Amino acid sequence: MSEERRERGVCLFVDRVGVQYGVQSVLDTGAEASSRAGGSLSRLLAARGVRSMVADPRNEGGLPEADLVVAFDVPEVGAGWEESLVARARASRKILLVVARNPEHLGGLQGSPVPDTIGLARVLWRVGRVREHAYLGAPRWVQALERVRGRRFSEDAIQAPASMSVRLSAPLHAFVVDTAPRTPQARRRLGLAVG
Amino acid sequence: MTKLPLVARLAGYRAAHATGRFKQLPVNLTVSVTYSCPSRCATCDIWQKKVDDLSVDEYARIFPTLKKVPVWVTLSGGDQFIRADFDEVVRLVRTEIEPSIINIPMNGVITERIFQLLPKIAHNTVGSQLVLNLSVDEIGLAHDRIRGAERNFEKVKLVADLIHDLKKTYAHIVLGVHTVISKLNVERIQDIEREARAIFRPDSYIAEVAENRVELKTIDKDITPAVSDYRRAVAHLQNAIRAHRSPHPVARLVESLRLEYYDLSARILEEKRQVIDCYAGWASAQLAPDGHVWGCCVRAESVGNVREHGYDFGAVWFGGAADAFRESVRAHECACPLANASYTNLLLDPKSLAKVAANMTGAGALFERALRGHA
Repeated sequence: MSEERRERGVCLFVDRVGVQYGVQSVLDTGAEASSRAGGSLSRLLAARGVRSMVADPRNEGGLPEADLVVAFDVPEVGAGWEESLVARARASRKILLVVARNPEHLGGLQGSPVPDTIGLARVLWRVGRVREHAYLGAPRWVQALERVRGRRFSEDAIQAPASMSVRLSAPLHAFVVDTAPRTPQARRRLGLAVG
Repeated sequence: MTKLPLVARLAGYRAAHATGRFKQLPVNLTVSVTYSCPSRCATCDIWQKKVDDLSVDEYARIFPTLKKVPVWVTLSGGDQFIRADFDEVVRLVRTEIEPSIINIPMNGVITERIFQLLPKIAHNTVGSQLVLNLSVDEIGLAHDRIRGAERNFEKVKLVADLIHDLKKTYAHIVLGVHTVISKLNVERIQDIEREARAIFRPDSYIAEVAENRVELKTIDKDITPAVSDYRRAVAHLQNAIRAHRSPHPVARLVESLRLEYYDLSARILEEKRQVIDCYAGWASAQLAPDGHVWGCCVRAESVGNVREHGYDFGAVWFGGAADAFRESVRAHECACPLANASYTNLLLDPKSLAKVAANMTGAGALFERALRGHA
């Protein structure tokens, strides 16, 4: 799959999540966020009147708040990856969207190691409620096979639980985490979790 | 420690049942963590019992003495989520017993605690299959009336949604819906089953007959449906299972067992005898919240308390009182349709095991269709 098609798929996924949750502002915090700022995602968001920002989570002073905080290409295993995600969750008023390399992807051995899905899930369920886990960029023939099996999906995003062929062939996976707890108890709990 | 293959262990239970020798620890264990419960079910008065529940530290001493033998562990109550430390008990089950399946029946009442603990439980049980069985005895307000809990049905829906979300990141979770068939709902089982499947989208739907159990303080309650009504209800459930076979292996195993269990339970109710040998006391056991060990929860006869035996489960299990219980069961002095014990009984009965295996592969349904066609 071409880089261009993969990026387009990811952008469409982020855009759909933004529309679904009614976000008015988006903060892009991943690697290469600055180069993406003028790209297709920003154009999509701007067309909807959504304010988009870019920030590096390593900067001192913390992240600015936004309805939707997007973490592309992270986290990579290493010191502080959990805290990095928690910091982004704190900055999100509604949704934290994490896009990471899929550790089950057969062709995904190159590059620095990423946490497995269970490791990511443990952190993400601490900071909110994981509403979606989707595999992105599976090859067209795998998508065709899934459609034959009766699965419906869009934006090249196939929701978990997914078949083995999807899990092995999709280069990316994404998590949509609801960080807006609706009860005082849940807000208190989230405060404890990230404190 | 290398686990003995299940098939070898099952052969051992048969040998022990036949000879009274070669006793083993149970492969099927129910751990009831509390009798306390906010529900006031028409079919259960367990909430009236007050005891000193085992602490997490005590469980940490008991579970290693089970030597990783139990393959199927059910964590029951009362309402387990009344305990703020329930996730710790589940974690100990996983780390100290390492069962293949951890089964948690849930009433969905204390939603705040469930939302707090269930993600932790999901994470701490990775390596086992986690079966979360939601209790649904009717639809809507009728459910709330049977369960004696306001807005319970709506809360169960919220919990089901949470479990569906957890399944997206934790592939080892199986969502079940469980109905107690009593005089109060036996006429509506078809509708309850159909609507519950549509509303909760479970991996499996199962039911069990309401019976008189010492554990539940229901010995004098008139709750068990007439056998003819029960037969009609389970015939529908068997057809429904065949029509909705789950692709999930654990859910499929549960369904395969249930297909045989429904027939077995109806026959036991009808004939009031052990239709196949019962292995409660050999292969299945229950640990009560206060440390008493029972062969089963229907008789709920203590064969000793782990608190009085240095928290060593084996010391109680291999003792004289347990032998006396086993002898009584072997002499067919009791008979009941308890589902949990029936599962192991079915696996230990060669004819039933063959049928369960056929159900797993789908051959059972083909055989049924052929029989019907022939008739």
